[in-house]
Amino acid sequence: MTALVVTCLIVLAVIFVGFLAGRDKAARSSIEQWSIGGRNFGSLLVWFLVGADIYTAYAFLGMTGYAYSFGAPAFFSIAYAVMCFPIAYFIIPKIWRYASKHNLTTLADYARERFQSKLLGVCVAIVGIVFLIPYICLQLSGITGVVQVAGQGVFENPKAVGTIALIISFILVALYTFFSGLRAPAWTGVIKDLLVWIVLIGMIVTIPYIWFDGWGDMLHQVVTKYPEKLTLPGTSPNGMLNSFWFGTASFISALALFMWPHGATGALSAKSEDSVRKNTVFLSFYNILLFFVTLLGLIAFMVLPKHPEDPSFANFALLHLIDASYSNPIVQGVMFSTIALASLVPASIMVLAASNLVATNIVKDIFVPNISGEKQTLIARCFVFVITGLALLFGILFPNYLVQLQLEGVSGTAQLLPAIFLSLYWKNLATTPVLVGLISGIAFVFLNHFIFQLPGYDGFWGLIVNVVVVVILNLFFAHQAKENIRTNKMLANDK
Amino acid sequence: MQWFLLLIIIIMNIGVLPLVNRVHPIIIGMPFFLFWYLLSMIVTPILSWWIYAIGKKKHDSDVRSAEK
Repeated sequence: MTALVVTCLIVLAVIFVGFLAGRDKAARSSIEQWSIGGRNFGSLLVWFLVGADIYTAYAFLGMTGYAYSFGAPAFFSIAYAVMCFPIAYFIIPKIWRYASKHNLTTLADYARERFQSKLLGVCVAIVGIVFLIPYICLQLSGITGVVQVAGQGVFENPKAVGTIALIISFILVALYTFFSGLRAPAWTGVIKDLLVWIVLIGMIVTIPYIWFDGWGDMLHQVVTKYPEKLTLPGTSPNGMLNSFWFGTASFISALALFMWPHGATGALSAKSEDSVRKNTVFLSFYNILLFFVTLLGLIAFMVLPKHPEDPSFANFALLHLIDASYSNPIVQGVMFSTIALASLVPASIMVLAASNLVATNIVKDIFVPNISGEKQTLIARCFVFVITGLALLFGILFPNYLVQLQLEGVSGTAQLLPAIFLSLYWKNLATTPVLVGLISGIAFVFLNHFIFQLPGYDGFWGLIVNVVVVVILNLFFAHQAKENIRTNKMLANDK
Repeated sequence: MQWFLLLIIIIMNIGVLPLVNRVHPIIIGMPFFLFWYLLSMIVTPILSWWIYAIGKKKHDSDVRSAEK
């Protein structure tokens, strides 16, 4: 019980900081202020913000769960997290430059200006929103997990209490996002990231000594007892998660990372192009945590009881490991609150990014082109509640329908690559091929998932189809590309 | 050069998978597969920093020539 009280107090204190972050009215004075903090964040704050974006509760719980269930395939996240930042170096600084010159706040804005096509902008926005909402639902699991594990033996029905805690905490987070805009997740993200570093380093240092004679002994024991867990395909069913899967999954995830609306939001909030560039080097430091946390999943496999019949046990393996390793309720409470915050803070950035896409790229671009800046900001802020509500509704009522969308989230957003990445380097890329490529790529992702079932990652095959379509069709649309280059103000300013 | 470094990063992380997907030899107590990704986690940021440094040099000289 004490652990839960400590968890609640810390989470509430941090949410309060979120409100404090927006006490200056400037925080919500314009869409640029509210959605990307007025493009005024220094390198360090961007580091915390993008770090908060990527290293979420779902990442930590998901990776330990994967390692617990399958072993080595979980390390695809290391390969992915290591590759994503050098790749981003070639995408994000350029986008940032366009965005700051032309007052863009979303990737869909960039696509619209680059191709002078509102239709393409809307499609990019819709793809972002459709795959982001299920991803927000995934973040909810951090909260329910904490209450379920910490509430065992305290509440009669920890699942129901978890749902109530979930609803309350997300309403509070929606409120602070409405109120403070990106400044709220940025400053709460600083606290969350500091807690994540402290707590995870604490666990990495102590847990191997609680159960073994340190890391050396632990590794020795895995090697002798479970060597099959240490190479691909691990213990995945039918050897599905083999090297080909590992390679395609990590590569596509790395490419797709900054195609996510919330990834772009974090990067666009930077004050200068150089601070974006610097972060593609320094964000890599977080991977050290990810590496050892994944190893904790192997420890969880060795020391916790096996529950093959209950898949949700694997998802919360890290929480069960905390519960089993530490007896001091205050230590437990701090750790649980860290996991809870690691699900609330990223969710806030995601909700904000999705709301901005609705207000800017759907409402403004399509329905009310001459909307005032004030109204646009207000609409974006109000959509925070709609998006949060949808995420809660789907997450609580229809979790089963979401699974497919969640699985295909990365594959889906990866299909934006021609529109965002190729378009930066290929001036003669025309609108129609990109649009057709995007649609066929996404269609193929689902076709492959349900019908063809080619080995490897769905997004990989989708992207191949997508790029082939783009390259072939582009031959027939040379005039469209020329016309675009001739009339495009954004490209004309480009030296 | 920058793109070449990126290519090295990608090869190091996924190109050589069939070669590193093994338990032995065990290095500093780590099974080889894990050791490889520990190594990549240290080497990749160094390469990223190199990419960054090349870009910064280019950018600075661009700015200087623009000022002239």
